[in-house]
Amino acid sequence: MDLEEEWRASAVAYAELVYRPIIRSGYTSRDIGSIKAVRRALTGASVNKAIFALFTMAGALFPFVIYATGLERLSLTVTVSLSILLVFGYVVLYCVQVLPSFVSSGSFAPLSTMPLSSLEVSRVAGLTLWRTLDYILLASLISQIGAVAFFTNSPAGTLLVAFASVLSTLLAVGLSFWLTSVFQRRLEGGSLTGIRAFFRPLYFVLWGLGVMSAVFLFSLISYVAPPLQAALTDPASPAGFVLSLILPFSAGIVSTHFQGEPVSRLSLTLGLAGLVVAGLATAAATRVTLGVVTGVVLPTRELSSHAAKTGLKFRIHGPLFAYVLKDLRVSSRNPATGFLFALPFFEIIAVVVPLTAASVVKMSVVLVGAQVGGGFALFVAFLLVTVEDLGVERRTALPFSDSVRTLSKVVVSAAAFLPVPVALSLVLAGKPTTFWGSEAVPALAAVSVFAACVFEVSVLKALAENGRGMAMKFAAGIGTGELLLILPAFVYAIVFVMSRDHVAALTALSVSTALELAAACFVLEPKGAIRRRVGSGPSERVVP
Amino acid sequence: MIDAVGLVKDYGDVRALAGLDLRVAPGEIYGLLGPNGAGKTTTLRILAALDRPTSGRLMVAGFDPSDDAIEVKKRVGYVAETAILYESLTPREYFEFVASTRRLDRGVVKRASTLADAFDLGSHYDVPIGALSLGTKQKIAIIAAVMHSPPLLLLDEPLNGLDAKSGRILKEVVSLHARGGGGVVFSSHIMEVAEAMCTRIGIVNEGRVVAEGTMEELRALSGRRDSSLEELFLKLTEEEGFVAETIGRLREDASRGP
Repeated sequence: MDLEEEWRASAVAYAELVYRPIIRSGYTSRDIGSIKAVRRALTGASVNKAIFALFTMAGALFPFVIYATGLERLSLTVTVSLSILLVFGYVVLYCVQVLPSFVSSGSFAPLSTMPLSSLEVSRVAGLTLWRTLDYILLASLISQIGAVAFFTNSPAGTLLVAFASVLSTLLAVGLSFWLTSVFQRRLEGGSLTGIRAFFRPLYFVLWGLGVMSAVFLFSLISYVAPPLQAALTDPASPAGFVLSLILPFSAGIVSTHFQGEPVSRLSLTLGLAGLVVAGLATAAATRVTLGVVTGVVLPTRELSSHAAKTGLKFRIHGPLFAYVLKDLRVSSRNPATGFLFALPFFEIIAVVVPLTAASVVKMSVVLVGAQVGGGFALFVAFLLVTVEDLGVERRTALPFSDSVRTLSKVVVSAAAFLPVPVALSLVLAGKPTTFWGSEAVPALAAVSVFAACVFEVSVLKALAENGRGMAMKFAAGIGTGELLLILPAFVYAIVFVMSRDHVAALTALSVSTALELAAACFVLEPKGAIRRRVGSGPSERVVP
Repeated sequence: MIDAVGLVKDYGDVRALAGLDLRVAPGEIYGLLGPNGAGKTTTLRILAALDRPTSGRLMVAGFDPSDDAIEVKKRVGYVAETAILYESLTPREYFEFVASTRRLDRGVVKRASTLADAFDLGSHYDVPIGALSLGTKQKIAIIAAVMHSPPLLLLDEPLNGLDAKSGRILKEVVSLHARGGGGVVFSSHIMEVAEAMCTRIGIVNEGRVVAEGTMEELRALSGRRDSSLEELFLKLTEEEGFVAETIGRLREDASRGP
């Protein structure tokens, strides 16, 4: 097989990767089973990749925009470092979404049965991996290199950032690939414990890093940049010493030196050493990636060992509780959703850091803080609906209603948000505020998040029924949820601007939240559906 | 138990069912036979309230699946052609989920345990389903479908992946179910199984039942008193000539050598 043939074969494997989840999801759209459906799936995948590539470009350029406009006092070192860090987060975020289907067993099964050498099949798999990640990798490299070239006019600095960018991207792909394969092999190999379980928290942290990148972009940069700048200009301090040795910061330090700005000798030495370490780590990560790719192509299936026979005992719960439990179990074992168990930790950081930095907490800060956490909850709901165990719910003959499905996802998402109002309340209890009523906002925000998730999940399910693509579902689902989330704060702002009265504004916020809740309850249970359908007693039985 | 009249199901331009009629009484084991793509799986999915017919009249266990899907699902045990399971759950967790969703009482634990013992599932209760073999997954799907003793069992190729011992157990479970007054619709490609188990057989071709009855009635219909079900099937689906011609061609090719 020459390279051209391998490239063509990778197109077939890529189409299989994209189309297989749609078929397994059980959706029966008008053109399912025809070549049109495959083309539609490929177009949808390209749109998804393009949207994520745009997000990545925005992430890569954002620190440079701040640097150029002077909105925050950022040094070039911090600008380059944050840009590389943000892109690292985005690449991880994307990889953990798409790689599970890449490493799931059977993806390359037809290829592995052909009379090809393992090297040829591995190369095809490598090219398929490139097709999966091409837009985002190109977008991240071009935007970072272009930004450095534009803002510094330094060929050496540009080359260095190009090198660091490639290293960081390969590291992100390698790390995500390895952890994803650990998750997948755990499910396919039958092990629910053992050394692999040790890596789950690391995986969650990586996921959180990706999500945090999105938050960095909007709110945290002004809080992160000053201490980071202070640490990097003082390499003799413990924080400065360690950070200078880590890739994004080491690249920032060395590129600043090439730009001609003063950098201490110790910083430069540490920065160069950091780049060498990163190079070695990248080589290891690339080896791991290639190893996983080969493992995917030529799977060595670990059949579950035959344990001793045990008795079958299990507990019976109420339908909704059983459903929530199932959602929690399935999502905690799915590489793409497992991070939600680490989410409360990241939420608290994202919400509490801006609040604690203020000497007096303004009402606007409280409202925005609640919004940030709510956005996380919407993201959780989106993942629960879209990534769920390959459409089992659509094909199973179990008697649960749509209301139970919706409510379960909403309960899990809202529960992931609950630490935010708790943390907000605690901070507000210990800080002076501009309005005493601000302490009511966290509880009202929790109600609003619940309502927003109900509408989001309902929209997502309606779109899924019509076979809509991921990008459409993301935009419409998250968009609907965000609208409902923002509405009470918007009402508050309007009433306050008109009346200059916090009490009237808070009353308006409470009323709009109550209306949202009423609407959500109507969507959930239009005619007493839950009680009638699920609570009407056990299934009818025959006695053989 | 099942009363279907003139069921039609279209997927875009493709007509999967073209006016299918079907009646199944309590205590009956009805075998649904037909060539690939004849509409057997579509029929079973519609009966299980997983798909809606484009037109036609249908009552399952006293309910119209289009209007009362949940009520139908409560009264039906469905085993799909490919086991539909949460692969990241263990069998124990899956049975717990199914029993809870169906609001079953504690007695189901004993019944599930008895069935699991019968299917020799004892060493797999705490292994993720995704790690299990095709046959073991099929056993789990079967136990989940029958653990609530539903009035109606809908089994789409239930012997897929099962070993001989488990196949024999399944046949016994189905027979006991029918003897207890339950109805069974059973699709299979294995003619011997259908011939041995089913009280009535329907042959589906191009989305409609082309012949129906007991083995004797089908033999009488085809005019061959001693023919096997396979021969009847090929004759009634009008594939007898095609098969004979194809076999002849294959033998001719084989005699010429590679």
